[in-house]
Amino acid sequence: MAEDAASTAGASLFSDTLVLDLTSTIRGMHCTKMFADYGAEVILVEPVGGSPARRVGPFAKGQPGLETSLHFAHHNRNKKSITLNLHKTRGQELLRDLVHSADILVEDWEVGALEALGLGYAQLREINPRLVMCSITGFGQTGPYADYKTSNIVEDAMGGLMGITGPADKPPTMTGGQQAEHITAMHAAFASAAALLYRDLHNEGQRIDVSAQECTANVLENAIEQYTYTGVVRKRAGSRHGTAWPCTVFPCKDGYIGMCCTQIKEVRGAVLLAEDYELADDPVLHNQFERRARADELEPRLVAGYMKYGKSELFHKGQALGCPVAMTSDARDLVNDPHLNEVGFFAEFDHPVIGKFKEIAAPIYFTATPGVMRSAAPLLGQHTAEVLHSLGTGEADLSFLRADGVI
Amino acid sequence: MSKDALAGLRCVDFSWVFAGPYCGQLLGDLGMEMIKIESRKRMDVVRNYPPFAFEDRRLNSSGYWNGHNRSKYSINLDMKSEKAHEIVDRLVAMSDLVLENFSARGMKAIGYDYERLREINPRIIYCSMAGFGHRGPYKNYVAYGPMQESQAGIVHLTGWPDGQPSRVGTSYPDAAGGVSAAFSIVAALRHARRTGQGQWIDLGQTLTAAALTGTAIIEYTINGDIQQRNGDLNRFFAPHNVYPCSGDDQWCAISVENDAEFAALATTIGQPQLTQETRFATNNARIQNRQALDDLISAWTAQYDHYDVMHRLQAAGVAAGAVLSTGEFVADPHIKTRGYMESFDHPVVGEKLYPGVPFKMSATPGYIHRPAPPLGADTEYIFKNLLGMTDEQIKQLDDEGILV
Repeated sequence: MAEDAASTAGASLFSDTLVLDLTSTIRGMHCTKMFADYGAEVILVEPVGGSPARRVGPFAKGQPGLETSLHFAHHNRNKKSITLNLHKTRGQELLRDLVHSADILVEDWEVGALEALGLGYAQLREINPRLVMCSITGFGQTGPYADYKTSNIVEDAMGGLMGITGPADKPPTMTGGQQAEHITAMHAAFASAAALLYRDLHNEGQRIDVSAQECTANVLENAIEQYTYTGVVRKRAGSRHGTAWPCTVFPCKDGYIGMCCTQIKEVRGAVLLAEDYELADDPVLHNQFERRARADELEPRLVAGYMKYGKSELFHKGQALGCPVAMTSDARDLVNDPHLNEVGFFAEFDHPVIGKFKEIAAPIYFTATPGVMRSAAPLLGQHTAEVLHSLGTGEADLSFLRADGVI
Repeated sequence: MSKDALAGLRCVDFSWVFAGPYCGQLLGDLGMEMIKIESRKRMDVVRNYPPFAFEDRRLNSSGYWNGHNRSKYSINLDMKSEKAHEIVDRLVAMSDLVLENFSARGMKAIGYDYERLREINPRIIYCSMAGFGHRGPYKNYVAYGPMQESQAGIVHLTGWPDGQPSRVGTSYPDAAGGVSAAFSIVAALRHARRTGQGQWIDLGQTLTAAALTGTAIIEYTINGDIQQRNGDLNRFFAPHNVYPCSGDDQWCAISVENDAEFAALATTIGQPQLTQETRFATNNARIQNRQALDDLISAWTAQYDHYDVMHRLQAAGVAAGAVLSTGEFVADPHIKTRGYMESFDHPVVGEKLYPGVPFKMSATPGYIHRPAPPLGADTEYIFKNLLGMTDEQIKQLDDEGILV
């Protein structure tokens, strides 16, 4: 590994890749973040008053402000920010100038909104046929719901995930941490990267139409096939896995643990962790379907054992017994976790307004092209002059554009 | 014949269960040639996971397996034999990617690691997807998606304040790891094409899931706040919830982020005066009085079908979405118009519908390239067409128990 690192110092996965970022939701911002974290130059194009994401909490020290949104800071580190009023002709011209040399443009505007400004895919491909344009919306660019408004909870609902999440005696439960939005962003990043690879070889860009509803439905594991194979509509049923046992969330002395056993040695590990030596020898454990069918009866016996210990102790002791057990981590547990700290999951960022803070770095380790943490999220318009200079705009022009409300 | 984004690329695929196969599904649907290696002695356990097309749970009838393993080829190799290694070496030499999601010990146990793979093919991309990755103190811990979700911090954020935290209704870190791997792989393949440099992508599924927790980490490191689960509420906006509709266990999600949307909601539910009441006039006031507001909205939604509630609100510009069951999703007119669900005719289970590709690419549309293969179904194609072996050579391997 050391040899790799030395021979390729400075290489990054997306060196020489320019991404124009016209997004302001997690499904857009997290997509472009994947490119920024691995070395692409990502230029966030904000309205003159700032991205709507700058107005979304939480805020640093609870103080709302254009530069203190943690929501904005998290999703936009490693990016540059320019302001551009795309409702003005000059703003549209400057965006077209940027499109000339861009590799990818990602946008999450309402369907048809960019077309109305002369900035739709048909118009931009005239300028740059090699452009990959990725459009991310709740329901995609076509179909009866194309114009419908969206949000994470709407996508959880319409993607079928909410109906199978949470306890049976509660309403359908939203995913924590806005997973419909995040998983959509990741699929958009994958499709964009694939289109870029194709573009390099065939010199042909393309339009990608990403639907958050479909991305959410795409990760239902086997719930849709359960319906198309057997006609059974899955109901939400708490944390228990449908097949594996024990595979659920258990309470313990100071919180909760997560567990998922599929093989007999793992099941025995779970039972030994509960110190129920009689159950450990029960032949019921050996039949995958029978042990799952008796979950109601068997789980209280495990809980009785787990309640004696804390989550961290159960995690390490259980793993030593070969049981796939985890602690149900909160943010403090994650930030202090020895494994995450040792493998470089975190980095320190320095933001001119928020200050220094520890934050998630690039989570995937590439031996030749590791992630590149360059900067905290940009101040509003921090790079406007730099980027417009690169397009040949002079100081006088900048003053004029500023006075005219274009930048 | 459509063009494929990943045409001409080949993968030796040792992955199993959900995370690796989901990655392979995404790659295969965009045209990468996925060669999945199993054996009767050690087949992908999900081949025995429900749902089954037949009550006798016969082999190759699992919808779980068939859903995630379409667009792939299947061969059997007894990886304990030396001859199997010769075959895998040849496949690696003519491939671009090796994919696996074993524990950190698994690949070594079948005789390979990155050093060995790059000896065979210096340009190879090797993607491993162990639960905690291949480095660090937990690298040998056993980890599957449903418990990784706990470790990753997502379970803590999901569920109700008055009850225990909840898993998302799917093995979410598998899916998140799968799509993260697919992104990483195509990026690394592009880098290899540009520079000739292969590499190892050491992906830890717990880490890729923990990276999707939004602001939870920096709320703690900057503000000292530990984010808590809050059911279906949003801390920053109201109304934001699911609302009961007519019919058994029917719900519609509604989220309102500003005053204009609230005015549209108030008018739609026949109470335009709500925007004038101090308790609801601003977002902060609505957050303070969210229960009273939710009661008013529920009284309206309870009169209508959940689809009806969604259409009426969306017509007024309010973000609303019916909580769809899987059955409703498959039959949904929008999903049908988009053509998201795709069918294929499988030799054992016949014609069934499956989730397709969740995005549309204008030049290289992804699609299900071939049905999920029954175990070992592609021996002939791989051994004859790809490796150029004769029927006799294949028979000999079979007789020696290599193709078990």
